[in-house]
Amino acid sequence: MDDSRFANIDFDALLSRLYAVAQGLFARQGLKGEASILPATGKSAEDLAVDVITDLIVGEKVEWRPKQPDEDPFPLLVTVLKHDFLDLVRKGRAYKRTAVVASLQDEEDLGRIAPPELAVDIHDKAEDAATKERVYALVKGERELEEYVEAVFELGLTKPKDIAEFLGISSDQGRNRQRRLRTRLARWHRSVAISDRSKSH
Amino acid sequence: MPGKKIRPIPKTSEDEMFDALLGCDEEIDLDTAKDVLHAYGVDSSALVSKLRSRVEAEARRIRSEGEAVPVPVENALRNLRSANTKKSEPAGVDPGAYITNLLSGTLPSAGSQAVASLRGRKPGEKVSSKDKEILDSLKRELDEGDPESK
Repeated sequence: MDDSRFANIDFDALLSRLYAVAQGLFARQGLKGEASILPATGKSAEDLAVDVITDLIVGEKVEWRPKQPDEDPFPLLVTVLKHDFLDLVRKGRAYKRTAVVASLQDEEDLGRIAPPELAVDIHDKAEDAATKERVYALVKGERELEEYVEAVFELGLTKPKDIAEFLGISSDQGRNRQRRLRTRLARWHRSVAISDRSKSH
Repeated sequence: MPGKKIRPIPKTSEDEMFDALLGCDEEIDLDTAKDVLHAYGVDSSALVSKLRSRVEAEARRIRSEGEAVPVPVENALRNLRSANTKKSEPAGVDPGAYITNLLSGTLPSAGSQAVASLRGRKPGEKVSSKDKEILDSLKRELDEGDPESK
């Protein structure tokens, strides 16, 4: 194993990129109406990004064996971060379910709960609609971003090349719009997080 | 979990939708990341400091368990410490001149640059009459507390 693999990594850049991914995941949860800190875990995006790189360095939970001396560990870390994030979401949901069941008065109340599959389906569809509504609200008034979002939501285009072709823009312009959307989402999410905090105090 | 391969999570239709909207997470570049950090009002050096503290805590834990700190962890810590030092140094300063000025007491402090910048002036630019009044009154206060000036 090459023991110098952490000697020359630009941790500032690596951590910044990973933080942006983590915040993106939290913002997506935020679009579904969930808080900036996952319930029952107390973890923030910052914690998640720092934890993942710490695990990489310590090497007890994440092992990285680069094949090339200049290999970027970022794609591996994104995968680890997404696993950790999903674990946290599951823990948060288990916590919320426990809270619901604990609040029921008697068995009659249990009978009022819809079958789980149906409940999940209804919940998912409502969640999708709410998510799209929030994204449209984010880009309202900015024509270039509005038409980009429409191409994805209304036409179901997901490949950058197809979206760029449909809109008659270059790939670079498409990437630029994605970057603007990500920043717009981040600003919105930050304002929601600040508002959540002020409500809880 | 050393030895256990971490597999990418299969993408859902929602993941594909967000990839289309925002770009793939795996392909985020530093410029986009900086935009996001800026939007959240986060300084990357604060993140690096936090990481450094975490890794230092892990190194202490390993030592307390009677183990030697692995070389990669030591390398990472050295790298993180130098990253923090570089960030806190004034930009574009010749280290030799910096030390000489520091020892001779002629080093312009970060404070003086901050004061000059406070009201939108560049360092070295003349102070306004209002600012001069404030500085004069501060000087008088200092002189009053200095026995040699009496």
